[in-house]
Amino acid sequence: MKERLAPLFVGIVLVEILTIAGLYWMGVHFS
Amino acid sequence: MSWIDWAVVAGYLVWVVSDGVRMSKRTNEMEGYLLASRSLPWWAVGLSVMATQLSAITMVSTTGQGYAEGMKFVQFYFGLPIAMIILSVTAVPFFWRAKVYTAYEYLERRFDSKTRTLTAFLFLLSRGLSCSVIIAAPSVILSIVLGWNLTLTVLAIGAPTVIYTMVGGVQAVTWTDVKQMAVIVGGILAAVIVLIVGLPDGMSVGSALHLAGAVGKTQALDFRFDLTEKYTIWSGLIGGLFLSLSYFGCDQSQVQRYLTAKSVKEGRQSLFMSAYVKIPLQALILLTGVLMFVFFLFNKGPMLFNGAPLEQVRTGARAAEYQTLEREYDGAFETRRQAAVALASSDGNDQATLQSFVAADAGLVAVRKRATALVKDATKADYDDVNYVFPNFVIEHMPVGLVGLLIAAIFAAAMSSIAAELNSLATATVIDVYKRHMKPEAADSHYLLVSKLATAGWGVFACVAAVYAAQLGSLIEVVNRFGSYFYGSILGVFILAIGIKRANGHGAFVGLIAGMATVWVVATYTAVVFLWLNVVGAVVVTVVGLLVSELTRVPIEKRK
Repeated sequence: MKERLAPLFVGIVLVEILTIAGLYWMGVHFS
Repeated sequence: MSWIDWAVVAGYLVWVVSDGVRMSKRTNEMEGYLLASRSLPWWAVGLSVMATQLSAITMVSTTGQGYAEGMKFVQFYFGLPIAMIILSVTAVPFFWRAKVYTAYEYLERRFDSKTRTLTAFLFLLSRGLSCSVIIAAPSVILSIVLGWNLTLTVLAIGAPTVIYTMVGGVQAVTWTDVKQMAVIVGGILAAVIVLIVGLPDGMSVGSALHLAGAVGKTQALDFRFDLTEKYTIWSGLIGGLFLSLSYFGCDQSQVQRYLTAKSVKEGRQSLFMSAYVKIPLQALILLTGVLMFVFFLFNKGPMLFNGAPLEQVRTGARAAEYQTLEREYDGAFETRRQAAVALASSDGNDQATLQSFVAADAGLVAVRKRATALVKDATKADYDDVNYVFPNFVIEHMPVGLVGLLIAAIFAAAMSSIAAELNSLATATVIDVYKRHMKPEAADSHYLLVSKLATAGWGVFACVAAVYAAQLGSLIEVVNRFGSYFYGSILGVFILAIGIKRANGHGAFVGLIAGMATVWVVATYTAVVFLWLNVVGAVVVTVVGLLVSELTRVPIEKRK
């Protein structure tokens, strides 16, 4: 069966964007 | 340290060695010993990839950075998830399907022997030295903080690792990495819980982070584009991407992890684990450091955490000066503590209270800086303090039992990295040097024996070099910097190999030398920070490699 990679890649990029957004929020909220 | 803590550390060592040896199967043949007969599940390989990257230096140094500078260092890892995506469609299928033992073996198939030999040599040189540093750095810290003998500490970390790596090969490395990751994460979580429980009565984690945030320690992101600034979002995303591509795609200590996976799919999934988990894990380790900062706002720590040279200063010609600084520190600590209490009990909008806390913290930091300068001046030697904050907190403030767990976690972090490096050093030594240049035709059992001897040989070298490296503190930094000189350049060679069909062996070889020379010039004569050197190296190798390939291309009619 052919491996479907696109959803995994989107997931990784999404998690990274959310993590960076979370870190940004942390900096703003707790400053 | 209590006997319970000793028992925890001893129990960990016995468990990890016996388990490593017990879990190894079919190690009586080369493929089983070096590649686990390509049979391991993705989650074990994924944890091994993470455990290899996370060394004891990361553990004590990252928490120390969190304490001193806050969350900024997390940006270093921003390029990693993107690198994993790229590698999952390039390096993983290429190496796995090529059925190679080492990444450098592939370079000979694609280019020529000289390119393979040079890259393998660079790997052996840098990883051989870094292996000794990985043993030396935590050994120095633990021997100072716990008062242990340095050589015995090196042996306590190095000897068990050499034994299970030599006996069980890559399977022992992987299965112990799985357990070691559990010990490391368990240790970090235990430290976080102790730090949260240790907050003053009535103080929430949110209030604690507000205190840390008041002096900028919760600011993780720096959006400035400045090539001389160590950690910015751009150096992390771009420089970190190139560094991760090189480390996970071209460094045998990592390539060998996913070569042991059952299939290409499982190899990919093992890298995806890091892509998802690495940044949150590093953020948690840094947060531990930030919480330690809050802890030491209310609990008085020493003026300087690295106590090794302090006796010499206290009894030397500058003793009176140092005593004066200690008295100033006592006052500065009390002023800051009161300011922290005032700020925590205010609603957070009181600017005067906030300013007085910021000023009090700056006052205490200034005293510590003057003390550091005094120690450096009095001892005429380098002085590192940041790496001692976490071990000091563990020994002085963690409850009995958990001290042992955290020491075991530091051991685990060191041992997991050392084991993978010894295993990959032995593989490259046997496959790229011994079998390629010295004895090409021999029985499988012969190469297996040489692999075990090579593991032991590199282990002994790493331990002996570690004892010397530990005595020459600055050597550790030199070795760390040394690797960054050719990391990007080696990546450039693999870009030519995998991505550019027109590239040839001459191009790759000349490009590699040009890349390393350029990186050396940029690193020596400019203030560009090391993460960008990876980009410089990779780009120069690719461009020069392509040009030389074009110039040395033999026309088709001449080939006939």
